[in-house]
Amino acid sequence: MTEEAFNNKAKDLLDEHVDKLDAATLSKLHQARNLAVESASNSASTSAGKKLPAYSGWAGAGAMAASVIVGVVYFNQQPPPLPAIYADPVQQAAAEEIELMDDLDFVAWLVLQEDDLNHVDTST
Amino acid sequence: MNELMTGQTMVLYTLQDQTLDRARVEDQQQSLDRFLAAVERPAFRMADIATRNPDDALDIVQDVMIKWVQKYSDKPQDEWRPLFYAILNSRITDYHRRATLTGRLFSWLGNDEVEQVETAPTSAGPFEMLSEEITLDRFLEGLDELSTRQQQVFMLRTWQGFSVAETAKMLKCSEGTIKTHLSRATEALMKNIHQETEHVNKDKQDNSDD
Repeated sequence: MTEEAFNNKAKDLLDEHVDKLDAATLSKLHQARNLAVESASNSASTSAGKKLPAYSGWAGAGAMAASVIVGVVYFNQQPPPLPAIYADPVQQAAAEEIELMDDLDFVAWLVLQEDDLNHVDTST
Repeated sequence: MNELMTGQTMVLYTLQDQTLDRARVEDQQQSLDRFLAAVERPAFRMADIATRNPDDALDIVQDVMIKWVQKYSDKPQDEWRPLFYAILNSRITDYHRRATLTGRLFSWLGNDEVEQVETAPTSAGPFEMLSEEITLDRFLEGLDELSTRQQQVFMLRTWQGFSVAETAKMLKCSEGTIKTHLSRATEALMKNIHQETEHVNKDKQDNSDD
């Protein structure tokens, strides 16, 4: 056998080896090919998208800017100031008095109780 | 009125552009599909022989297909095949490097690192000894005994028909190295097949004597 004959034989045998691939492997190769071609169409549509008005790009940038602003506002937010009425100690006290007046019935009851106790003490 | 007509014309132009784009993409997809259909099976066999693992071979071919499509499919079509096989063989080499690192590589890969530029003399002996009857199994067993680099060179040159220069470019080594690897691969392959054939014949003889 010559070197050329051997090389030809080797080529034929490797071709034969390829022809003997089983159906399952062929199916997997087919799937892999489809996946690869799909990835090409995805990248093609992405590059085609560059020709379109950059609407989607601006929308994305706008959304990101808005979220950044919201985040900055949220995290930098100071605790809300107390209502003005609680800022001045005098007004604060007045407010307490007003609350006390709201519960006037309870105050009246307390006074009456004290009076009753005093009565008992003096009588005894 | 003029503004209305200008608007209509622009819409028509846009639609025409979109139709042309779509047709161009479909045409490109068909070309890619045809090319990959032609190379996927030899590529799988090449990876399968090199890795001895069909699952790993499938993973390699899939990776190569995707990488090739994403990076090189916009190149001229006459460059597609060498580029594809260059990625494939780079991936196979990478596979063996990783296997070496994880200690899964067999000792027969030790020959890979040796780069000898001078062409080794090829004796006519093994060719003459070799019978015309080489079975696929015996051939594959012989191929399996070669180093990964020898397998790659042999398959790219002898099977896929790439030139010495193309193969050297694909495997990132000198043309002299390719010639050396091919010469040694061919000689070793024939010796392996011859020994295997003799071994089988001896077994047959022993069985008939019994």
